[in-house]
Amino acid sequence: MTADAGAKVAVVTGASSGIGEAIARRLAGSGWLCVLVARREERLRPLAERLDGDYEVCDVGERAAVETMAARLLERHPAVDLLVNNAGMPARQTFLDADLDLVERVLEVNYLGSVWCTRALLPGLEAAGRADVVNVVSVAGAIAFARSGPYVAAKHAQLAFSRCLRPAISGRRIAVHTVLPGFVETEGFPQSALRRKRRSRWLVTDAEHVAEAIAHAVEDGRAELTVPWFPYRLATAVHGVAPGAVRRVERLMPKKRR
Amino acid sequence: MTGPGRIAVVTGASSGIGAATARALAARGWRCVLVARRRELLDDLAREIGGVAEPCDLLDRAATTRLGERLCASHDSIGLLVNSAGALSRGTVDKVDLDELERIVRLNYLTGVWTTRGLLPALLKEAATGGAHVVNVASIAGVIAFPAGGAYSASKHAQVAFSRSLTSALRATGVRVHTVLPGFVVTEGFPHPRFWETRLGRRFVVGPERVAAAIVGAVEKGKDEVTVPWFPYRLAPLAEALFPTLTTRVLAFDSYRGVP
Repeated sequence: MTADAGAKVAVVTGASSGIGEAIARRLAGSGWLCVLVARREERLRPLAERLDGDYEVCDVGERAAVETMAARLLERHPAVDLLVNNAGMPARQTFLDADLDLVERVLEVNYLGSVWCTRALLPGLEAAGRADVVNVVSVAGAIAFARSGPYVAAKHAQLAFSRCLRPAISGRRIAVHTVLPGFVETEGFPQSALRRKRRSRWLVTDAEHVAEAIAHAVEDGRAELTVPWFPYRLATAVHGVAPGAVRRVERLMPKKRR
Repeated sequence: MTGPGRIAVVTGASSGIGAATARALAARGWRCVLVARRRELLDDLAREIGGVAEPCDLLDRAATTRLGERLCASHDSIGLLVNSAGALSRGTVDKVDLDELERIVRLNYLTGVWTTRGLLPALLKEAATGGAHVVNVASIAGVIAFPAGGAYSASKHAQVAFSRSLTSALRATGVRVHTVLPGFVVTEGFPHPRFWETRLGRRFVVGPERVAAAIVGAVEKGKDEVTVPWFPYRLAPLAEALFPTLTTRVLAFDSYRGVP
């Protein structure tokens, strides 16, 4: 850890690849000291060195591991200015064929992981005097796609958690930001089915774009942000008004190859 | 839906919406299999409506899986599953006990997944000969975030997503899925004494019988999604879809402690 002592501390979960890695790079580029959290140490260590940051190896899907990680992290960084709950995993199956262990695991990583990290790091966020929490949800948190049912359900829970968290901790000078990315091409979420067809390729965006939007959401104090705005914000609004409409559109989208 | 002689499995049937739904279904000629933890209550209800009691702790995934296997073996086909088992949790997400937060999402969301998967073979069999139904009794808190019951609201969001996702996944098989979103309902598991007593409160609260009637109606009329009572709860998700932050802020007022 070599960053200057006065730097603000950001904890980013799921930082070993994808949106998490892009956020960490973006924040480090503007002078933040990033603490990278993920399972793969071989990925975290070189990235932390490059970003002049710090790291903690942790599976956010395990509550005991999260609590241990947070205790160690808070010893080194008693004040946490920003927590980005970004760790997540996909489940590209319907509720008819998904393995029941996977259904639970996806719930633990995508929903409970955010809860556990937030609760365990709350003392650090309070110690900062004024802090931010970003929950990286997904448009799948607001729209119930059939083809990734267990993922969608976990993301719906995470979205509700994030929305409920904001008023609950605003009095402690902690601002919560809910971010709903559309389809983003990353290592964990390759979006190969969508990218194959021209009629759906335009829906896919990249991690850097999302990271930039998240940084702005924090800087501008945005409560909720859908990125890219078009067409996803329209889709979530339509889904709220008429959930059946999205089902019809989904049937037109390309299927993954089996 | 033609009732006589067909099998309906109702979870959470020992009290509240589950018990009221079993009574309403029995009155329509369905033969009800009653699932919940408390055997005495199930036995009493089974005697009253001529159903079958199947005590089970649904939170035990292995037990729920065994129950599914047993029911699929003992009943040739099943026409209706009502996932009504659930519990309330109050408190904001920054303070609620983490064990409770986890238990509530398992009970309100995962047990419905397990029960549905367990009974799927019997439901598919009946669907092939005339249509079968799954009803998920969620809550308006599953489509709009209620900070006063954050863990509950998150669990119900997961359940609604499960139900909607299942609707599409099962469409081609002939198994119809119905998502029921009750507003404030007064039951044993969900007492709302203070809210119920105010003059304003009484206009927004219904009894479990009204929800049971909505469930029967959703199945008979083939409705994908029903909000009960319609007013004002159907308006809330519209508000949240358009203005999520404002809606949550309104519901987070200090004086407001209700959770549907």
